[in-house]
Amino acid sequence: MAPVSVERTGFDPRPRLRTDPPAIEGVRCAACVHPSLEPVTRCPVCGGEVAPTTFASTGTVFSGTVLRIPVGDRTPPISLAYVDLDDGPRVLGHGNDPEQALRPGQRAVLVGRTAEGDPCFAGEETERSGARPVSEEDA
Amino acid sequence: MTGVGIRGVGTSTFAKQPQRGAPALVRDAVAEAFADAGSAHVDAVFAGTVFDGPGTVQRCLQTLGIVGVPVVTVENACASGTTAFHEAVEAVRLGRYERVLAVGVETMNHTFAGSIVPEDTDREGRSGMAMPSIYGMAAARYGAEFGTTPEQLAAVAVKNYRHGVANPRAARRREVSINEVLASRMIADPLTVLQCCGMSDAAAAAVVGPARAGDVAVRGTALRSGGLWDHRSSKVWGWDVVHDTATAAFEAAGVGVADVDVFEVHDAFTIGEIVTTEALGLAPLGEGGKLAAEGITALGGESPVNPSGGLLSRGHPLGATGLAQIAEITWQLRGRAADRQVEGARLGVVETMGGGAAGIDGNGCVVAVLEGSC
Repeated sequence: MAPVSVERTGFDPRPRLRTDPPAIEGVRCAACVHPSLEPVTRCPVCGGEVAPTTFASTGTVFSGTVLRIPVGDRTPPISLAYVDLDDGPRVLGHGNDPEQALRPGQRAVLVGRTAEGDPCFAGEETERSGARPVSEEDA
Repeated sequence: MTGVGIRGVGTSTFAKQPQRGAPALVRDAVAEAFADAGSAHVDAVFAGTVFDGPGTVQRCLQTLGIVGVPVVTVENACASGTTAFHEAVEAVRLGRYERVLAVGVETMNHTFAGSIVPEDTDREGRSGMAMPSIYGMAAARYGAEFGTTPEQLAAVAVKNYRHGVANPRAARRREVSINEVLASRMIADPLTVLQCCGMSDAAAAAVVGPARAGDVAVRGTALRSGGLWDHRSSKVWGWDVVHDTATAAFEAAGVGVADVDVFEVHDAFTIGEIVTTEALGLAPLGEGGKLAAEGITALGGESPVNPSGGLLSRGHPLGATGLAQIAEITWQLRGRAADRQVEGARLGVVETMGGGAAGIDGNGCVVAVLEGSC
């Protein structure tokens, strides 16, 4: 079926954000501590009970890119990145500088929403070494 | 259980040809497959399409006189065509039907003015997550983690476009240089436009039935959806689902990757072929960038990958792609691939994977192991 535009006042599947300070809300499993962005009633990993939680606003970039073509109603460029929140799930967000890709291994902080309502992250500028910028766990 | 053979295959041309419409494209593919099979009789149809409208497959098939039989249309993202093939094979293997048509079609340029618009009921699609961006992120991650270079990425495109020159059905048939690939327009850093498959319109088909002498035999197929892909996943998107599906297909076939003579894999983007060839077992994790760059996966190399020119040369009409891969491997195993023939190919593998649902390692992946009789 040709894609049908969903009314923007309708279902919004994106992560739920609280403001002041910005943070993403979700649920965490009481049994295995798995964090979920979706408001599930059972943990998708172990089936355990979940409780609402607010995730840390800081995290480490898994990877990032700058998309330079228009998609749907979006105007390029847009900076997109997966950020692994420090105590939470991997979240797709926008980098706050649309011209700049967030780099794998870079620290990032949630700064709110973009004008279009997407989670928005700022990369922390640190001395960039030649070392592989990934955590030990990922290596 | 019944052994399954491929009786016939066919495809339309792959091109920007929205004016032709799905019925004409399907007629081209199915008529060729029927002529190849020596019969126009089928007991059931499994079809794959993602974006073509409701009823498309029945609208097309009636123009070939294929009516009154069960028709099931599946949507499994980029793996829709190979999913239809897998289901057709399983239906014959389990004795449900005798002769089954698997067909895939997609008129991309009818549906989209530009690239695919992400699904806005998906939490990532709603944030503008187009397919080039998820592959761009995989490529950026490979650069940072494993030192995969832009030149290694580009080498995949150079190889596949070179192969595609010998494929008269491909949409993009022109050799390019590494520099030309890298200097082309940036789409999703670090992927340039010549590293992204094009939007083409096409159909492809295969007829399967109980294996007979002389058929290309289906040694094994596997279909999986991805596991959860989240903060616990150290590998890039898609690696694990391809690996797990391939492991299941190789086990069903009773062969290993080293036995395979020729591959058709999902190179929707250059990094996709690198990740997939690793996940299939052609290179250790993180070292897939060497395969095309060192000629290992070129025609004439140790493990030729995408002799058809792949998705990069054909373009990627989602539903048609998987069955075009099946057709190419079938021609290869019959020794009928002309200037792109892998000499003496006996075992071939098809891999297709697709995504678009946030949170999992791919909506679906199919791996098929086919064996020639010559």
